Amino acid sequence: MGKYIRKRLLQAIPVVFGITLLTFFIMKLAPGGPLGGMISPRSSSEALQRAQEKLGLNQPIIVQYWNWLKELVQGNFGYSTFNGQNVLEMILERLPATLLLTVTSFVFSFVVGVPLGVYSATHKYSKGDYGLTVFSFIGISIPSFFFGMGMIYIFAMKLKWFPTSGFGSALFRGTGFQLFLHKLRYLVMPALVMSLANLSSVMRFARSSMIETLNQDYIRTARAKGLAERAVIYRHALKNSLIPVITIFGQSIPNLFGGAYITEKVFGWPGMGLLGVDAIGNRDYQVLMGLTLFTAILVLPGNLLADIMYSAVDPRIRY
Amino acid sequence: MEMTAKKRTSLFKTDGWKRFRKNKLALVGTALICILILAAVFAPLITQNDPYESLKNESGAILKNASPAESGTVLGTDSVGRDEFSRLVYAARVSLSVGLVSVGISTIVGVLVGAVAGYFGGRADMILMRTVDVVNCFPVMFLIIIIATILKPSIYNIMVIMGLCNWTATARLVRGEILRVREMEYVQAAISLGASSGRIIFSHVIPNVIAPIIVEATLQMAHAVLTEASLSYLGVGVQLPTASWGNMLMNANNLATLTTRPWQWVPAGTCILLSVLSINFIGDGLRDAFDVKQKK
Repeated sequence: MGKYIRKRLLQAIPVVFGITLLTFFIMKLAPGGPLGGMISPRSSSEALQRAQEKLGLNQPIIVQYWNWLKELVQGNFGYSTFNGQNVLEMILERLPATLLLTVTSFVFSFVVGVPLGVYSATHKYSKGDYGLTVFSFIGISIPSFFFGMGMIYIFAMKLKWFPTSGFGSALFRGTGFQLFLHKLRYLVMPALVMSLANLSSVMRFARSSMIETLNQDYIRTARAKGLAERAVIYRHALKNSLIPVITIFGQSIPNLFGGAYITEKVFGWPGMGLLGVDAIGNRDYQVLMGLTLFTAILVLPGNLLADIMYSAVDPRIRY
Repeated sequence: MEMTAKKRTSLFKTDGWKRFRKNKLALVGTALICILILAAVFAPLITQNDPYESLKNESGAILKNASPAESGTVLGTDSVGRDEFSRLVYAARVSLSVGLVSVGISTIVGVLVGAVAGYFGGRADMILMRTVDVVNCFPVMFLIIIIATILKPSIYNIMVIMGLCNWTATARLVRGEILRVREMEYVQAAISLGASSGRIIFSHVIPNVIAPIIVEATLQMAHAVLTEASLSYLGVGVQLPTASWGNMLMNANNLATLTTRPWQWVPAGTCILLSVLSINFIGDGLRDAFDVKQKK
């Protein structure tokens, strides 16, 4: 196991280089280039000259990449082309809100998606199964902004159950549990909207995986020895059918982050997605680069964790 | 063995087609998509007004935000008085063609990369598959958004960027399939007859892995229509005044429009939902018909 983890960590190194290289060349297309945004626009002309020399703006591209990478490693993601703020600070400030939203949707989509998928599989071709199948198709097909706008229309404007947007009112004075409940009301709709697509694909995946497991020989053996159907499904089939579900654990992380732009725009959620939406409007390439690079690097440990979990739960996998 | 030696039967007589026909959802999807494509092709015939021109009333004032009843059009007008129904129909052209072209690009790139990696193996395989890992780490939306913002969004840029960012799933799929058929007897026979690598890949291997490629491309198409709509909604996709379903919703993204002028956002959103849903139904039907194992 330790050997496998070490091997996967080593494999991650070229991937990190690849991520930075790709981002570097994308930024090459932007005005100012990748290094232009690394210098604080607030520095004096003298400091500017020194910084330009240090970054080697006149040097060959490989040297530029190396200098750029050194700056990144030291935490310099550059400065916003729009307002001169430090990009990493801007992102870190928005990170908690986005993490709260993504983690909630992530947990919700698995906690709800897996049981629904198992139900579908054990009631194959029943009315419930057909209903859930159509639901899951709609879930992966509906644009999240359309779904979000519909939710706002019904639950915020007509029924007034939830607030339309934002994350907490500035006028709210409660503390402790009351504050928690207040914030929770803001979280419900965006989290639901963000999780719908993932929930649907988790459900479909859990269904097909469970059906496949129920066709295995050991399930037939369990039934043949007279075990109750309940025990067959929950003690023998469930655990094994969950193994492949872990693979989409890793895949769904980038997808969820990708959804942040849309969901946060629809609900005015003050996270990284909204930061990106503003950056698009301001043509703030440096912030967009920071966001792209930051999420890509955030996805990497997620994938690693999914792979390690996968090999931990399935003893048939040997490395 | 005898089966492979037989001449190909007509598509409509194969077992696959029979299975596809039994799948009701897939048939509904096919019918809906056909209607949408016909509407897109014959757009000028079924709309009464120009999608770019503001409608005026008798006294010459522009009919801004007019409801269907006020304007005498099918779906009312938008904030600058353009006929919503005309825009909706013309947007079908844009949304469907962006999806089609970008999937065309991503399928070609994916097949090439997957074929080279799977067939040659070794160092080429390692480098290409690491590249796939790298691209897969990026949330694709983030990647597309930054490139589109830098290159200035336009229909053609969006087609190419989406195509070049979405090929990894196809590449993985083709690589896996090629690893599977590479050791088969007919490929070994072709090698021993001295056929070139290119000939083996394109006339022996690819035709035998075409079914999963088609299924993947169909599902990608659904995804592409959705991505284009999302990008246009964010303002980095198809640019105004050209109409796309996504940017029609972007225009309606304020609480006043949301509550008082549903004709400005419900039809466009429904069109995206129905087209993506239909394509997903078709993709799923094809997967069952071709008996392709589910990968995701």
